Amino acid sequence: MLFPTIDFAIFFAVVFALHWLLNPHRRAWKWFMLTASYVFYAWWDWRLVWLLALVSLIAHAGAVWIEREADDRRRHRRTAVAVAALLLPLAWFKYYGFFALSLANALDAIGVSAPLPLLQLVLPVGISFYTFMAISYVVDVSRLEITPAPWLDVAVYLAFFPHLVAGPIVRGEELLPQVRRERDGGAIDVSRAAWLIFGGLFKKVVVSTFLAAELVDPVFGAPGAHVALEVLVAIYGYAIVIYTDFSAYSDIAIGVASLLGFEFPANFDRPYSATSLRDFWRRWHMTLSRFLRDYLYIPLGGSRRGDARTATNVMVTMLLGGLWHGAGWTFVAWGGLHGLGQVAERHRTRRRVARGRSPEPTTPSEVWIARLATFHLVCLGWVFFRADSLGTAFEVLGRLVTGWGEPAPLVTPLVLLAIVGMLAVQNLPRTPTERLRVGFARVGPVLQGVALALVLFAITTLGPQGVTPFIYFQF
Amino acid sequence: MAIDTRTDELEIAALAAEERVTPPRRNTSSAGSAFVAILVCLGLWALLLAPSLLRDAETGPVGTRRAVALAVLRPLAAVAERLSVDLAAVAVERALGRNPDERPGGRLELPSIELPRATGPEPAEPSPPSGDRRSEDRPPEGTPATESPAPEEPESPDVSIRVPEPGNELRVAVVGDSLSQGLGPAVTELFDPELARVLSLGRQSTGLARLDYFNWRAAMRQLVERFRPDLVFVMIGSNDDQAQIGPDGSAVEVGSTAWVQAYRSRAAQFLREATSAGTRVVWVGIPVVEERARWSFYRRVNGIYRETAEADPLAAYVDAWTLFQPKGGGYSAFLRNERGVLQQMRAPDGVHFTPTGYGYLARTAIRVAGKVFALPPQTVTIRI
Repeated sequence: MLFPTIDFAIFFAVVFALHWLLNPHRRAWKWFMLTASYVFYAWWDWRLVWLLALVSLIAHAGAVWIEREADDRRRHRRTAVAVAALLLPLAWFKYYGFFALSLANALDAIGVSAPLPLLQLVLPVGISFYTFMAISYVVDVSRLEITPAPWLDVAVYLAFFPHLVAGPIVRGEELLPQVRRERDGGAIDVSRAAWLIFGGLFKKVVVSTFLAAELVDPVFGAPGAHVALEVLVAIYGYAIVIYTDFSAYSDIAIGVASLLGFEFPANFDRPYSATSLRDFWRRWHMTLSRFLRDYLYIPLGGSRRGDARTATNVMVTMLLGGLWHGAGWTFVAWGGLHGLGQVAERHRTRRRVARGRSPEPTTPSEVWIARLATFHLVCLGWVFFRADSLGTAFEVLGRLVTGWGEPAPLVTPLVLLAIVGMLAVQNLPRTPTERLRVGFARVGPVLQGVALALVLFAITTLGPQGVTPFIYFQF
Repeated sequence: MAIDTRTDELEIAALAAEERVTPPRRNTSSAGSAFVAILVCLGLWALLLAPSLLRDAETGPVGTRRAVALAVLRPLAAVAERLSVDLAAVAVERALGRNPDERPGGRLELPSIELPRATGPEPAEPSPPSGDRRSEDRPPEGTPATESPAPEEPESPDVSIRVPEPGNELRVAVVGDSLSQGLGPAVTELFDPELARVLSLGRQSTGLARLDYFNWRAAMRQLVERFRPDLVFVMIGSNDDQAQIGPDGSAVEVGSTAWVQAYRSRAAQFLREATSAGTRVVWVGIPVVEERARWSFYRRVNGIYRETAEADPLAAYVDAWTLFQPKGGGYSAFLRNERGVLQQMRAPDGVHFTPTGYGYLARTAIRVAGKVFALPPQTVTIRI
């Protein structure tokens, strides 16, 4: 079920009412929320529910099994088994096709027929996200940071519909206590929730869909047929498309959870105002950054074993982060670019500190130069991320140096306004929006409903008919 | 992936502390108040948009969902009209430069085009020499076609596509449903932008069955009048497994003889809009799909497209069904291209293509245009 649909609006109105009615009766509430979340997931394909249930079962059984072992080494071994079992479905659905095809073509070259059947497996929506949450849960149990929860709690934790299909990746220690305890039905921050939900709808339905349809898809679909200015603006446009698309989902998820009395961690913090790639990753898909840092980068040794090892750890983390998005060289290039960029930044920072200068840019001009440079590096990465092959990515980049001065019909004032507008809001102070939210919170519920209806009406009217799936559903 | 120069432990501590800071609970509401706000919001929004939602529902596939939506929306639209709140939606639509009365599928958006004076596709000579001549099953450079005889060279110069001149490039369009939306960019990429202007005009969720949603016949007329295309690639029909709604709202049920007759007539009228002005048309059939339950319908409409194209001297048919079947028949997402390389050509939904698959389909369709209509080889970047 997609968030920006009438189906979801009806679903949520019903779930909201029943959620608060059942809130004091925790066991009944857990069964209700589990059922509602499974219905939400089954809207795509009911068979997916079995997979979600299987992952929940492995996570619960694994955590209990790990917790029973007092010896550290044996517990770590059990943890490795549980994590491997959780990763198996993800690896099967995500990488089998790529692996079997590559093997078949390699063997073809030496005249041997393919040993593996070529299966096209449809990646179950959200599998990466709930698998990562399940991994964080069993690892946290193994690290003795949390104790195993009852199976129903684990099932609700993994299936809770606001985060189910595209995050944020919420950790057990954050969500499980909220699942256990009755939510406070008298302290709903409607103003914040509305800001997140309706802001998310605007970003997805109006900005992202418009830029993708009018500029980005045509240019990346046939870069050879577009002039340099169109290609350049399309690259900037894609930076906005992927941000507005993904952050919209996160915002709506956080807003919806907030209406149900749940707190989710933030997932985006104005990423295009970052002054370095490291800063970018503190602001972009923050819960994935945190996951990779805590469950991959730090276990690899983090930054504690010397410069060479740190650089290696950074590269491994970023390359695996790239490959998580899909089995393809474009994602390897994207991850590699971010990894190399961060290694270079570390080197540069050390040199600045050695010369007695601040590690971060300090003067306004330094900050703006750093922001622009970071944004363009990120955009370069997006070219590889968006292109369907390395060839297309290089063709897009190659077009940047040809065809200047020719008419660029896709670069319309509205397209430029959307791009510049979305970039500008990332660099503006938050005070005006805070004031708006406070003002909204002070009016009664009927007036709030009327105001929100008008905003929703405007979003619906401005947006095109139909909603495309969110980009991050495919990951 | 925020990798910091500070020690990891410090960073974790800082982050954890940051997360434990709960936002100040100010100006909060009760669940009851929030529920009132949600209901008012959804109710008023539905009222404001009721006429437009009703129009959308009317163009949905005939079935339970449509029936329920109509049962809810008809009285709501009546209330909206009585209270005149629907006027707000109409005013906004007009302010945005849209026509609130047009079909829910919208209209064909054509870029502003300056056509050279007194140019355009040459009118066709009547009567094709042979029906089979315009039916292509396999790409010319791939495996030889197994079901149709090899195409002959065009006998009439009139079916040849003109050679583009400076300032008067070839005009090409790709039209149809979501399959054509993928084919469009792939075709565009293969034409030389100096010698050909390609418009990718596919529209999602459209077809020939529901002209009440989007009228492709009228759109083709508009395209011919304003763009005067030399060549049009058509790929349509994957959404047409549903009742056809007549101008009076009556439904012709899918599966009936009347449906087939009406559909054949619509396909012929659609094609005539293009070729009567001299445009050459390459009609790409629906490819084999993963879901076998759809095979019977798609094969039937592919038969209609083939017959329709073969009856017109300025049209050629590409049998995408067999083109995308593996050697033993059936369906596979993985197929060999012209060079024998195994590639994933089909998208996970089992209907659409990967970019690689669209590329292969585009090369095939262009080669058919080269063979049947003598498409000037210099206009494309592949060997035809």
